[in-house]
Amino acid sequence: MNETEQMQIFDEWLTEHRGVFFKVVRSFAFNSHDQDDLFQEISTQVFHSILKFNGDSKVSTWIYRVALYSAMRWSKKERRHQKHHESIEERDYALRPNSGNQNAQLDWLYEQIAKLNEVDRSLTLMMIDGYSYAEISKALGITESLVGVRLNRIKKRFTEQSKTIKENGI
Amino acid sequence: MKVIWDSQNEEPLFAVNQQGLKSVIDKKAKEFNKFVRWQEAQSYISSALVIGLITLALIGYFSGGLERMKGVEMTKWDAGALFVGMACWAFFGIRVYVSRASQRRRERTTAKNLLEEIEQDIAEVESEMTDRTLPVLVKAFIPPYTGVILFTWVVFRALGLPEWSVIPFICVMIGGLIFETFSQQKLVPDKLIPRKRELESLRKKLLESHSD
Repeated sequence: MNETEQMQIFDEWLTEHRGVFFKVVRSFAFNSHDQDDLFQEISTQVFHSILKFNGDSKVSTWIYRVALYSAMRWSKKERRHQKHHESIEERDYALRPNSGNQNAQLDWLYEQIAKLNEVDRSLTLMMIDGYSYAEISKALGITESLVGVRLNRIKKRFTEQSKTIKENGI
Repeated sequence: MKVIWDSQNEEPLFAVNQQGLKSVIDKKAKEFNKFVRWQEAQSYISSALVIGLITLALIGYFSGGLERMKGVEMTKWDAGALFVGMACWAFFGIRVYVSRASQRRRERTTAKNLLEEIEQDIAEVESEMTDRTLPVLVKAFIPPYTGVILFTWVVFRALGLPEWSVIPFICVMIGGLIFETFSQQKLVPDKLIPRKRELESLRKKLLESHSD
């Protein structure tokens, strides 16, 4: 496969599955500079992963896996390099937040996801996006029962948090 | 929760600068390829250069051309030293080639899942750490340094320079060998151990049944 074909496939994947990219970016990066940086990192990793994709899983699952692993590693790296940030105006951007999208409930949900550790964030994203425990277990390489245990705990935590929010009238 | 979540599908969270993204990917891919090619080229070019020079010297010796042209007289010991030097550099070049080929093979392996990918990455870091242990580094660097020292020694002799004049050069080469070994070993605590710890911590988080 040459680089032009690879880029063509990447374009198709990005068009069709951009939601996955966006959700992972928003769950792991919390300001526009970081979001742009992480998006570039995920895109680069997904682009390179095309050569390794053998069709054993769905494209969306593959992209999720690559994106989540890139984000997990980026989070660690980002913590080490926080001081070296350049302003977003100083470089070309690839991603900008859509200012028209204001949804308090969605913001709250992302806030709750951000409070989880990297692995629980990944499990939660895949679960809310409609993946079954079996699919999550296959993508991440952990047992279905472990997926179940952790997701039940997360669901319980979210339910409790949402009750507090309702009680406070938010 | 699902309803709230799916609301973002109707109105995307972000706007993508497709052209900007393409140029970023292209730039990163080019930089990466350039870096890898340059690393490989350095080893192959230096091997080829030294082997080429030694071959020329040997041709000159066996054909008697050196003696006729420059009045340089080479002994059998000189020729032997050049052969050993050439073998050292050929060994170095082949070693680099085999190691890169095996790395490329490992990189092509597709992990079945995230856990397997993390484990593959840990194994890769461990292999890089093993490559930087003192015995492995010494084994890797001794041949090319020996090759250069032997070649220089023969050249110095052929030019009629006193034998002791090669000693400062040997000292510089030994200094270089120590510096290169030290620099490679420094990568272990500076980069490889933190990377390994991060990966192990991710693996642990993935496998533990309770969250922090």
